Amino acid sequence: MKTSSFKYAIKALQIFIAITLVIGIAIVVHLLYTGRVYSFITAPALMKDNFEIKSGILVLLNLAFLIPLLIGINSLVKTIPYFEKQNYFAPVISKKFKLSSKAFIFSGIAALILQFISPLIENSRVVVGLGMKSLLYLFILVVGFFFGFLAQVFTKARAMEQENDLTI
Amino acid sequence: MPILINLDVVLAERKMKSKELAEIIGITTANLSILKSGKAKAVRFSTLEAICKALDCQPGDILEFVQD
Repeated sequence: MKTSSFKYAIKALQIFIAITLVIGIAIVVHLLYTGRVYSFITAPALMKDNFEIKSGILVLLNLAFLIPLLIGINSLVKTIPYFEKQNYFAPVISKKFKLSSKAFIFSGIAALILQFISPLIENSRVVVGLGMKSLLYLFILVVGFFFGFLAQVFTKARAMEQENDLTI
Repeated sequence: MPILINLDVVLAERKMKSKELAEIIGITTANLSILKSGKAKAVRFSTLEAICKALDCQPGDILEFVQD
């Protein structure tokens, strides 16, 4: 895949997440304010007859974990110009990868924890297992670890490149 | 770093300019400057050989070990 198309794909994903976040927060705030339930919303917490504040908070928390995801993707987008200029060893690349890694790991772990505690809070039941959603959060977590590893590799590569440049 | 580069001294003794040496040994003046200032991390044997040939000296005349 060309770098420019990759850049557009990441930008599109970023916009999609941002729109989901804004619409999601707007809907939850509206529901909390009016107490009305809309049938087109598929989130289980919003399908209840009486929309409770704790459910709203859980959905808001779920949406809040999209923010670090957005930060992570945004910092990945910022590395693309350096790759386009073939400036692979710029220190900013490893910094941005590290930031993405932290954001993805935080988002993944927080979402997984929330996935576990939300049925506990809502229905007072413990759900243990891996659903599709948990697998997605696990994937985000793994991607976070991957970018952490990549940040280490780029830091090492930069040190080696510097050493190579300073070998006369 | 405890390794000192005495290239300036040897160049002055030979009355040779850095630019001339850089041209003879085939490196850029910027790289020679890095070498002279002690910022270099390593010196290739081929570069050292070229410097020694151009200045008619021994590696020990250029490199010196000083205890920290």
